[in-house]
Amino acid sequence: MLKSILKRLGIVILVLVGATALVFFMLHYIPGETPDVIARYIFIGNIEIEPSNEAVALISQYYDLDRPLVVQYFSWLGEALQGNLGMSYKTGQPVLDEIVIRLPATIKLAVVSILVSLIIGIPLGIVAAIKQNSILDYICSTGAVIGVSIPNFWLALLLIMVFSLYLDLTPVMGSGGIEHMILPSITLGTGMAAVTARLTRSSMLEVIRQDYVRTARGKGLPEITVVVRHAMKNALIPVITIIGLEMGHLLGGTVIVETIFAWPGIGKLLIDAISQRDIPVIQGCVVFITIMYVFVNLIVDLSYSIFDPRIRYER
Amino acid sequence: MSLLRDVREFGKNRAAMMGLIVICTLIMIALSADVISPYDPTKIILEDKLQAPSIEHIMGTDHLGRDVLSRIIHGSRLTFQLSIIVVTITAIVGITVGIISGYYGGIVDEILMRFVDILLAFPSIILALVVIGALGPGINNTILAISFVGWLSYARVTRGSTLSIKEKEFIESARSIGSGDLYIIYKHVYPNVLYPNIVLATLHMGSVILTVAALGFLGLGAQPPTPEWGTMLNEGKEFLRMCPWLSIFPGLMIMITVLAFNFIGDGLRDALDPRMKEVVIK
Repeated sequence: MLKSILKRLGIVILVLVGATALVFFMLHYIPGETPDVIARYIFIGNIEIEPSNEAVALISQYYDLDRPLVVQYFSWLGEALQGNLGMSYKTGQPVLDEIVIRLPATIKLAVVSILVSLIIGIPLGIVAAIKQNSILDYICSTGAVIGVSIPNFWLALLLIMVFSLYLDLTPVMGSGGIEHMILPSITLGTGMAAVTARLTRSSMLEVIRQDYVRTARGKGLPEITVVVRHAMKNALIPVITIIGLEMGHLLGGTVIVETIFAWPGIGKLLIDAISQRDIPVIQGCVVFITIMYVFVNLIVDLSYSIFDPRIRYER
Repeated sequence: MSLLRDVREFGKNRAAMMGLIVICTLIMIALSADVISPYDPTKIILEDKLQAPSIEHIMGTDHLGRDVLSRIIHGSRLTFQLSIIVVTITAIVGITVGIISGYYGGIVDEILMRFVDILLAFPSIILALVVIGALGPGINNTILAISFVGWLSYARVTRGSTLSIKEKEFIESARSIGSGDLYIIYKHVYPNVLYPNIVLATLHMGSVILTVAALGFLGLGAQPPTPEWGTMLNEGKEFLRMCPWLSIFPGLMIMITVLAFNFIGDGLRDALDPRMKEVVIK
């Protein structure tokens, strides 16, 4: 067990080094990434005005732009491992600080959204499976397709329109109390709930045909006990993978939802940085999001083998 | 006649047929956009701004007095153009990489699959945002950004199918009568990996349309005054309280189109490849 975990960890580290290198080279090997352009764009705010030679030299030195790209990458990687992700072009603040301030907001939103998706998706999936091929099943399946097809940014606008503007029940945007969480987490949770319901349904259908479920029914247990105590326990194991599968969807979704609801998380930081061409911040956000994504998937994979003793991680 | 049986199977699926009708209609609308759109989609008439839906402007007008219906019609053309380009590029690249990787195996497979692993380490829209972040916003960069991640699923599906086909006896007999690699790939491998990729491409159309619109909505895709559905939503959201039609219609069009592609994709999957039934497409 320990050996396989270590092996997985090794692969994860290799993938992360590759991923950071990819992001670094993509973001730095661009025509706009010269000290001259940075000076014009960010510090002067006017592309027409020519910056002084001293300013260009200073920027080039401060942001470590005067060495070959490969050298820059390894020096960035070395610094990053010690917790230094560079400085923002826009604010001059350490990128890590900017991210760490916003991290709790994103995590809070992600966790609540996952809860919303499980609360909606699991019961729907179970009902659809128990009443297979009924009108209820049909409605659930169609609802699930609609759930994945609806653009989350449009859903957010509709929710704001109905609940904030017409009914005046929830705040339009911002953060703070629990009431600010409602619309963003419903927006993010719906798409995931659709996938959760689909997976729960198919996994439940598989379990319901097993011998031990038939035995439970045969000895005269009431249907509710059979479903809850016997079938559900095993049917829900694959649903754990949903959290891993959907993490990408979720982290991508936070970018959009945070922007709409002015939620002060990493997603909004990333979009703002892209529109301001603040390369160190873009890079820091992407690296951070990727690390979260990779590690959540690793944990999900490993926990899967703990919950389901039939699968022990050996490869 | 397995093809005929597949077609009949597909025809029995009511949701899929409905999706097909919707998509055909939308393609007709997109092709005849210049003829059927009542107004010029980019012509600014400030006196007519922010009008509610009426007989003259069925979907109302936006903050610059442009007819929303005309913009949506022209937007459908752009949406189909973009998504067909992206799906074609990614399918060709992905299927090629998948076949090479699966058929030749060894070090080539190892290198290609490690590269795929690295790209899969990113949530897909985040990687698209990196490309946009590097190259700047715009339609061409949107195509590049989405294509950069889109080919991964094709490569994985194709590689898997190729691996299992490679072991079949008819490949061995083809080789024993002296067929070259290229001939075997073209004649035997390629036709056999086509079905799952057709299903994938249909579902991919839906997700590409969503991503294009999402980037437009974030202000990073097509730039104003281009009539793109996501960009229209982005412009309309400022007037959410006063003029909800600016936000309702473009979003509705996105949802209907994506829904139709997803219904067709599900129907194709059930008809062509029953083994794929439980695959969850993100």
